[in-house]
Amino acid sequence: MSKLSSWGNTLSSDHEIYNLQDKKNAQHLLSQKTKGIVYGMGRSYGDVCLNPGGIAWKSSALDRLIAFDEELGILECESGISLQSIQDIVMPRGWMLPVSPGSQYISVGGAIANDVHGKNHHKFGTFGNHVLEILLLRSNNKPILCSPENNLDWFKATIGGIGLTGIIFSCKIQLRKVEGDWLEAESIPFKSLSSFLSLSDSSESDWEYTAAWIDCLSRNDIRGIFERGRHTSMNKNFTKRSINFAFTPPFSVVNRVTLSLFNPIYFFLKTLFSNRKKIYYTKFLHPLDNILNWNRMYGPKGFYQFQCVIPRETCEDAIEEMLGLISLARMGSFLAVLKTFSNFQPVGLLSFACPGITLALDFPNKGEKTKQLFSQLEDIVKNSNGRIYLAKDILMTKEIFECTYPESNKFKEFRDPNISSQMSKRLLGG
Amino acid sequence: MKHQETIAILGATSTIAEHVARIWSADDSVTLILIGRNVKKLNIIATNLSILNPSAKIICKDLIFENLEAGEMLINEIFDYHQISKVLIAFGTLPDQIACQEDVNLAKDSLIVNGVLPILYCEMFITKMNASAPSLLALIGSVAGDRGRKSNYFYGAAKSMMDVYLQGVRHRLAKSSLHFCMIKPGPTKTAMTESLDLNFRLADPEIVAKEIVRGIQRKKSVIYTPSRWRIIMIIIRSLPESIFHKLNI
Repeated sequence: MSKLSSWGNTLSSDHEIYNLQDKKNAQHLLSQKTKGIVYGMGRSYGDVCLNPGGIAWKSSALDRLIAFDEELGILECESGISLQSIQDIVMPRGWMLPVSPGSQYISVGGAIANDVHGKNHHKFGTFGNHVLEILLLRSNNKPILCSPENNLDWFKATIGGIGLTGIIFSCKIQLRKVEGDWLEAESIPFKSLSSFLSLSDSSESDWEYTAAWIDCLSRNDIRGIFERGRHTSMNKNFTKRSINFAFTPPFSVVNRVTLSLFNPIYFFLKTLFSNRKKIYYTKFLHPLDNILNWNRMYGPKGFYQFQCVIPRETCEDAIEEMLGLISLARMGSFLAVLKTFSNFQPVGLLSFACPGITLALDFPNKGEKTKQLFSQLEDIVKNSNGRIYLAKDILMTKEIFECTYPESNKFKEFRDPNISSQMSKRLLGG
Repeated sequence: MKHQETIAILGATSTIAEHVARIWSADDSVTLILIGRNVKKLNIIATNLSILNPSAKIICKDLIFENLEAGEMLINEIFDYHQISKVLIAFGTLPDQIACQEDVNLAKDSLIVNGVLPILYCEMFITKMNASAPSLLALIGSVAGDRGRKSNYFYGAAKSMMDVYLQGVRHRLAKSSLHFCMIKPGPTKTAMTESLDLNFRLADPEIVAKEIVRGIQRKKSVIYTPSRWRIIMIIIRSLPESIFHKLNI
């Protein structure tokens, strides 16, 4: 038994770990009597990749490319390869993953299982929108090859299916052409939710990437920085440099004192340097990847991330209410992000992204106090017909899940009997 | 024009060898000859390498290493068409120590596959390689070969056999241009170590491979990887038996 935890570090628990080596070995491990869950790069925040006391199948050795059609931009690969490795391989050849989330250090299998989204949702939808085919290993049956054309029901269950429909062994992805790896970017300060919405709406046609950082401690009105970017044809060498958060401090360095200093300074600096600039794509899309192990700054107790999406009709009231609660509880974070999701309908039965506004925030783990706040936030989400992102969640109740994910019952039909996670036990009854 | 290099890897499906091959195949002028038992696995690895660098030439050859006659024929065939400048011998298995203690045939198989066969293949390559052209032979041993321990001494004995063999070969061919490298990885995250219940973190094969490639480039005779294992093994080797026997390692 070895300890495993996810990115939030709120739960570290013993797992019996096996490394998936190839198809035969993965099929063999899956067909054993004991239940497990695939663990990719451990970048989901909650318990979607954890199975305390049970088995975890690590997929990091499944990192091979199977085929690459350079003419059509179709890449076939095993599921343990990271998005970063893929970008490093395909970008010099003029292609790029159409969707990548805040971190590139995630596996392709994880990107499918959580149907991740990025700052370009309004242009490209979610990761699942670009998956052409999935080879799904099943414990009690032959592997299923599913795609939008064949076995569509399995495809829809597996995209965003939090790894519960079988082992995603490999997949085919449609890449997108890209001229250059540098972006033209702008930062624009805003001081209300409605100005964020109008900025976002007016930017969507000309700017591929949009998202906003907000100061969740500003009491009176919402203030933030709207960031937008688009590809340029510039191809210039860029030396990736990253720093490592080398140790876990004994307490969270994200606290009331540091936040009250950081947020105004950050806002001020961004307002001061809001001119249009050229920026390397990873620095704009994956800024936190430059700080390795940044999750350690939350100390040994870890942190929770809360991410919800609220439909457009109810979003202004709901988000203001949530931010009010957070500000009142004095529990916000450096990382509060607002982003609009446009009219791409969810691909999978349990896909998160749907038309509306998404809000994401980190909270240092302060035990019961944080849980209480989450419970209040979840109620607001439920009442405003929103939903919470499973890739980030570890606290949602079964009742809220069933209310907000209406296809959850249908999803159960596609579960693999030999796969379970703490999340499946918590939300799906086993 | 850049020098064309041809490298043979025996046991190319081993995790460490696969990662080393990924680094070597980044060179456009390289030809990699991947040799292994499982042709299906070899092809999967070769396809990956060919996508990573379409300019590198990858050739797969299947071989049951125990069949020395077939091995000799394959090596002759390879040398008919290629001038090999580097050889990496990486095949091996991690036997169940207790099972080896109980079954002499298992123990024999383990000693053969982990010690005898790598040595014999190394010898076959030496006879074919051009002693006047700078070339290299590297064997993947193990830190387990530095001192016998109760938990894996059959494996360790075989690996230590390689060590002594290479010392002798190096002595014999000291004046030639052939270079010999003994690689001693610490416990690494591979298919081999999957079933081990260890209290410490296994090394990442990607990092181990990088260190091997760097060590080979610098013509090191012995490479401990990760490098901390050099210090650890100095300590373990120098422990007097009275203390060593009290340790549960």
